[in-house]
Amino acid sequence: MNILELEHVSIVYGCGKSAVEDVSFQVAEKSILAVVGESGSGKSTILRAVMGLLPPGGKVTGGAIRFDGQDMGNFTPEQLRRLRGRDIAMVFQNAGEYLNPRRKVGAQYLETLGCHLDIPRAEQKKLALDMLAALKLTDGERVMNSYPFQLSGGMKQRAAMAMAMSLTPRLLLADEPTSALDVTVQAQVVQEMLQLRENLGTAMVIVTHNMGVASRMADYIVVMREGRIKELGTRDQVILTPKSDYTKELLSAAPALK
Amino acid sequence: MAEETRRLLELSHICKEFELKQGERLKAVADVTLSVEKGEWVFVAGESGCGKSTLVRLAARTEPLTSGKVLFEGKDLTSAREKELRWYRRQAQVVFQDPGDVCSPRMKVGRFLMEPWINFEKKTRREAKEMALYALERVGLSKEFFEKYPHQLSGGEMQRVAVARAIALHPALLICDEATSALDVSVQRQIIHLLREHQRETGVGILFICHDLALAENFGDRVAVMYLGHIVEVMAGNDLRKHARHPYTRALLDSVLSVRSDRQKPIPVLPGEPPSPVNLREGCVFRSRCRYAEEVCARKMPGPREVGDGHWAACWRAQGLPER
Repeated sequence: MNILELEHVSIVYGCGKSAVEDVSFQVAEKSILAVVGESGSGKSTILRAVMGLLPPGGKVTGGAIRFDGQDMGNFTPEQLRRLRGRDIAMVFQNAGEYLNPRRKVGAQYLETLGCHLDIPRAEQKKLALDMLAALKLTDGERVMNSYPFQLSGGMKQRAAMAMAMSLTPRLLLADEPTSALDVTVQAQVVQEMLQLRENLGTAMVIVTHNMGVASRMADYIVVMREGRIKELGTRDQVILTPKSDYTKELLSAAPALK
Repeated sequence: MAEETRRLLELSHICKEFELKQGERLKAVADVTLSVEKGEWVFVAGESGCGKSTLVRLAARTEPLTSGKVLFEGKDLTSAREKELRWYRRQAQVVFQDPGDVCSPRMKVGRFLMEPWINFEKKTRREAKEMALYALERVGLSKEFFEKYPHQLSGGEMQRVAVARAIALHPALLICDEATSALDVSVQRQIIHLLREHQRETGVGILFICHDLALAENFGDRVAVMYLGHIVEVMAGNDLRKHARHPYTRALLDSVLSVRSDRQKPIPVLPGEPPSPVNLREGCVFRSRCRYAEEVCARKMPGPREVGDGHWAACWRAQGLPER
């Protein structure tokens, strides 16, 4: 069963510039799909479209985005609101920028939970601390009592990931979730995301420019360039036996350790 | 004697401390000794907050040192006056991570490239323009770029312009601060090859700050690894993966997710994150995350010890650790 399907999706920005053209792919339940490509390939635009977060002027001009078999274009704003956060969650490259700098992380965390869950505050808090612990933030109390600027980049990224995962969404959209992190922290977060999939069965769409991350995490890989799909296949197909010249170029462009 | 003349930049026991409020002290760079020889490409690798950008500013002499010495071609620049610094600025050029921040958004690329010629060489505008056009050609950009504004260029094009300007006056030393980190891999490759070609032609020395170990291994004559203000290991670039000794260097190498990594094997994860560099405790800076740490590590920060030919590691246990 596919949780997310894109069928011939095209997206245009306000200036009339086509950002994504005729993109189709499916995400099966509990699977991880990575969208890779260089800047301007339209990979982040796709995630934003699924989440309904295209910048002003951006519009899906063709095709359909289906969640659970239903066309998201037909959803009312109320339906979409309920879907977002609860069933589909998203984390961004620079999680710190999406946290309010003037409020403690805990307050923002509990507000998110309160929007979707009708449970007592004490239970919300327990839920939050459990999820922070699952992401190896052992001192959850301190994290909750901190302002965003008091946390390191890796801790903020984990806190944002915990917020997104607390509602056990069925689909997690992640836009360059590890790109702003140092390599040692990146390795930790990748490991923890894989663990979350294992434990909670969350399907994920991960946008990244890092072929190493895609290769490590994904079951399926979509390679994009200039708004179009250049190659689509299982991880092994794309990494081990790439067909498209562009994929080969991407794989060889980054220097590797000997 | 021969060795003396090959030495370009010499950082000798340099320290930089920042005073924070309430008497707290942040040691951004602690007792760093490192040199760059003519024609040599030296990488400084490390994670955020390790002090590598402060090191750039100290090496470029745009930031006063707390202690230590900076020598260039044997001249002590530590307390250099403006005239000497002006000479140094011509000899040593800096390329930054985000070239957009360097070029005024209202200045056309052409004028940006003419500036060093007018500023340092007292060329006429016509001569400077000729030089600027030649500079564009050298980095593979067409003449049309002369009339463009920075916002009309992609990140990679703008970085090429920045490199063109930096190498225009044939400096003896290039200092690059994460010069390719914000670029797509294919563009990064172009810039790296551009630098390498220029180095082969002119013998410029390069001090290249980055966090990408694969890049360091592939292009670095030598690699210095920094952690919390200290250089913990210096070694030949092409030995990196095989011969790295310091537990931190090894952990960094293990953390790189390679395209062909074996997915069945767990990622060897280094626990935790670097501690705050404010008011550091005694002992080795890496010990809180080091799985080999023992009692001696808590007492004193180890100095660099030679563990191989031209290979130094600041680790009490470097000799006893198993080969990789």
